[in-house]
Amino acid sequence: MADTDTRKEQRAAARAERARAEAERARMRRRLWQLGGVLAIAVVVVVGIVIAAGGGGNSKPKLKAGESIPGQSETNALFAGIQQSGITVGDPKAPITVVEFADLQCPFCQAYTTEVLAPIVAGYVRTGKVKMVFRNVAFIGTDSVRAAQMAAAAGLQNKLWQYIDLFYTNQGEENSGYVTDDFLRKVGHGVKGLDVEKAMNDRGIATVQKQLNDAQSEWTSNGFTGTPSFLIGPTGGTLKPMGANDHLSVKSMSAAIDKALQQQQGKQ
Amino acid sequence: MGDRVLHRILLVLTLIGIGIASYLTYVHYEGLSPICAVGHGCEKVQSSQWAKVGGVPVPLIGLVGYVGLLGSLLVRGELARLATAGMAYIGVAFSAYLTYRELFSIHAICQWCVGSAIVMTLIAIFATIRVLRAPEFELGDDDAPTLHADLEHEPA
Repeated sequence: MADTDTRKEQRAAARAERARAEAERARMRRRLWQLGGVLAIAVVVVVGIVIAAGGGGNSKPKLKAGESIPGQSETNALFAGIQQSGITVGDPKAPITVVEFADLQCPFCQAYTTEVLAPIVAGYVRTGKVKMVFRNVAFIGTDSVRAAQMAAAAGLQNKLWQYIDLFYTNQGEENSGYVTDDFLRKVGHGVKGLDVEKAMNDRGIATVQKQLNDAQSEWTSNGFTGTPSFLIGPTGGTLKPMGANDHLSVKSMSAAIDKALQQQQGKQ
Repeated sequence: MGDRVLHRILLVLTLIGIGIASYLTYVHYEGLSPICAVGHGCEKVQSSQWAKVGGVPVPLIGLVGYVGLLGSLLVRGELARLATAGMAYIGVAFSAYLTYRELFSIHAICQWCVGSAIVMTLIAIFATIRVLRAPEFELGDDDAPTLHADLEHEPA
């Protein structure tokens, strides 16, 4: 009797054990499937975010009829008829001077140029209130240096501002080696009145190198470590660093210039 | 490793992640205006064009993710465990994409970002183990069918 009971119990225990193991396997299978599902959702989510962000953020300007490079018409129209001399744009006797330190590869300098600069040029430079100086600090990489040399060479023909404006419009991926001779020429051909081959040949001359060295030392001596950075003040007087975020919008930039103009008028 | 130990480890890792993401978010908003700064590393990465996704700074996205993970760890049940794993997978995939950008597009490495990527990967690993090793719901025969019925309604 006792024997039979024990055997029965053993069989029951073995059955229970098998059932338990089977349930365990089933649970494991279910959990693996769930994890697989969650993983698939995660991949879809991230791919979606990356595509959406990449597609929406960096929309390139389109080439319009009659243009050899996108942005050409806007750039030439913006600076048409405004006096330029080397790295300076605007009336030499304008009461206020704004100096911009920038690298042609820097995406935030691009954002400033494409979003803020045009209304400032139209409202303050064209009207003779402000003259602007472009100091090219090529620190991001060799593409920056190549771009800076060509922009300075365009400056020798008093076309630097159109050149940098158009360069920013067509700025490529940082340090990807995109600043080739072909690219520099392409931007140059978009600038109305620029002798592109002369500028290409002028890139290596001492004046250009000196101008870039001077920009670099002026930038560091003002304590700047990033671009774009700005100095503002009375023409011929002491220029002071502009507020760190003043270049972020047309509104803040205008406010900074208005303040400087008021201070200047107060002195006179 | 028991469920409680795994849960502790995940909590600690998540808090470390929150720490890193908070620091980077703070640095981002603390007047470090969008400029291209000299030198390599974090400044360069944080001022690059990939430091924002759809206008939202990446550290803030990370912070939201870690807080979400923390939330999932404070809730009991199988769905919460799966949620922890799922969010961690999203975090790992996103970190992988950002690290790729750091290496091949920005050419600079931000040690804080790498730290976060490692923490996120560990969270994903432990969260996976936790889902697979979750204790069985043998809470008495009456409860079991209800639980199973519930699980069938979960999104896979």
